[in-house]
Amino acid sequence: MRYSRLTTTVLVLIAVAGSIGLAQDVDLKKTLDELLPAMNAEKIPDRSNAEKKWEEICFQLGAPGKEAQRSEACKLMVAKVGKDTPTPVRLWMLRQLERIGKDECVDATAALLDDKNATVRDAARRVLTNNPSPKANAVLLDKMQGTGERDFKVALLNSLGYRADPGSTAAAARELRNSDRAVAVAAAATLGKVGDVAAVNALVAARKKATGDLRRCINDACLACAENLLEHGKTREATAIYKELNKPEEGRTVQLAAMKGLLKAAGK
Amino acid sequence: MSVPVSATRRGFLRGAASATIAAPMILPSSVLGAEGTTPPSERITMAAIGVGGRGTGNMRGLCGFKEVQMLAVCDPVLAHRERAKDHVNQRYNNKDCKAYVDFREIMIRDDIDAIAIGTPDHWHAIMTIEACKHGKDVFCEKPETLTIREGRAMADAVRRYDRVFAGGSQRVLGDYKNWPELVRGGALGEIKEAFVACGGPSGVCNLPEEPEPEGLDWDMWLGPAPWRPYNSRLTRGGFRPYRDYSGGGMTDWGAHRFGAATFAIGVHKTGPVEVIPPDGKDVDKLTFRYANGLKIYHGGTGNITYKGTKGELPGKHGELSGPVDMERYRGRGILGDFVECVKTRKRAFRDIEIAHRATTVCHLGNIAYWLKRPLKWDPDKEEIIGDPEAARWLDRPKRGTWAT
Repeated sequence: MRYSRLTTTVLVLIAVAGSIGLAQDVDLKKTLDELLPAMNAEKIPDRSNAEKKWEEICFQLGAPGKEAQRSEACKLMVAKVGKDTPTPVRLWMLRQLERIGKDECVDATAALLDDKNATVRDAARRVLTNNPSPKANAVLLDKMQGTGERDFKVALLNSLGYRADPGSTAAAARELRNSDRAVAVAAAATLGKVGDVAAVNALVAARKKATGDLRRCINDACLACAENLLEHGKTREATAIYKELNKPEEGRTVQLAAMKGLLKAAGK
Repeated sequence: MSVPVSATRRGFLRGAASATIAAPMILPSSVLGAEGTTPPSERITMAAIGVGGRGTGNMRGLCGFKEVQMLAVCDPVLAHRERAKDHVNQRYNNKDCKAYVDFREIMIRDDIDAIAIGTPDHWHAIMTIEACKHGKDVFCEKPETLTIREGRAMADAVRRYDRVFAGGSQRVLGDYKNWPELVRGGALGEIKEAFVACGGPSGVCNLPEEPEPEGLDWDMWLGPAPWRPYNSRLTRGGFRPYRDYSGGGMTDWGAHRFGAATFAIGVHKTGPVEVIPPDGKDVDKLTFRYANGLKIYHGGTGNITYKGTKGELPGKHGELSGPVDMERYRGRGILGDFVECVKTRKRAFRDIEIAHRATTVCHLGNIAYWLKRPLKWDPDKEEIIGDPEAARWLDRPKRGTWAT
């Protein structure tokens, strides 16, 4: 798409204008209360303007030194994510919480993992996925182990992989043995992202019996772990993984990757 | 990606058998490698994934290479994939091209060597990584990444499996006359400033809901992006202004122009150390500051402007004393470079690392625009320093069962 010079200038001017004098002295509760009705407006420009205005405030409240305001804004949003709020507004609040929410929004967001609306449920999962609080990891872990819904379990495993918290290793390792292949594949990918020695051990153990796409995913996770170990100076452990994968039965793609890894581990 | 596709190798073989039965009885001479053509056994077999406007352009271009045999096309929009399939079949005078909605069915085809990705940006990382895992080389339209972390994950996968990756920025070498040589060759002395003009950042998508047309798999179009109702503008190439799918003009033309400027100056394998957005007071243009003091600004009066200690472009500058030692295409244009690299296993001109670094500049610019505050960047560790909330923009959780 071609952007004219005029478009560039306009976009930059909008960006500049928005940066002047915002958020410093904003009464957050009053502002949000005023914007909320418009966020559910029929007319798109009305809705869009309200959403953008609140988003802009949230973006700036994430800046270092604005912790109290950020936390206040998050608490205000948390109060609006329940089922009494119209869905578009709930989703918009969740989007902001995904970017600036911390500890204060974990409990309320966790409750939404059981929401009847699948879109809200997935948005809540993404909020927790990108939340730096250790509590968020615990919630995702707990939910992943408890759910019997295949796709949701896979999504939650992906969330744990995104966070790459070593605390998720044991639970993900158990899911490697899940009879549902999609779950086992997601568990393997998660372990590959955590990449610690415990994750490697689980992957190597599961690898022997795995076939097809699961074996491919486990091999990829093993290679990722080996790279991580090598980067952290654990050459012996990385070499062991590469040797394990350097076999013709793994297929040309994996064997070549393993051979390359062996050379790198040997400093060549 | 976590959910395995339901298609099986056996299923594919069944499909291939049907195609064979349907194939014409008289084989064209090109199939046998006659008249200077490349025999099938030596051709690079490819699939084009995402065959809207730009993806179709790339596919047509690749079909023009005698070394390439396009075997499959894929798109969630029926009209796109049917049009693309027809083009391929016409090109080879057969009916062999298969059309798919789900790219994962292409990944499991052992008879496909490489893919050309022409989807919106939010799909690039997942498809690239999956292709690498399956031992396939990748040509990927620019901007090659949607987030910085995606770029690193793509680079890791490409290197892990020793794949060829070529990003589709044909303008870095193709559009700016001999400026890359002049700048790289020192005709301007040491470059102190550069101005790069391109569009601004992407933003919120609030397009109205429309009824989904027949033949569209909207869920597949969205893929890892947050769910929203269908709007025809998105599937007709109008996705770029929206943050869920793209970085806007900043990454669209920015992938070309920041890529070109950083390449010419020779900072294309590193990144800025600070990004300062306009503040309405002291800073009037988004500024990328590099460790060596170089400043690259977003804006200016031409596509790219360079200011060095001995000259300017456009403007007066010195002359080159000889040929300039710099990276160039190995084949004809950006597509020919890819084809040649697939054959020779050399790194492409727009290798993943270069593509990732170029788009990282654009993404950092976007983050600074969105958050309206300066960012400190460690180009070696690829981390935002001292601003944890800004660092949360380095990647985004994906929808449902999708993951990189």
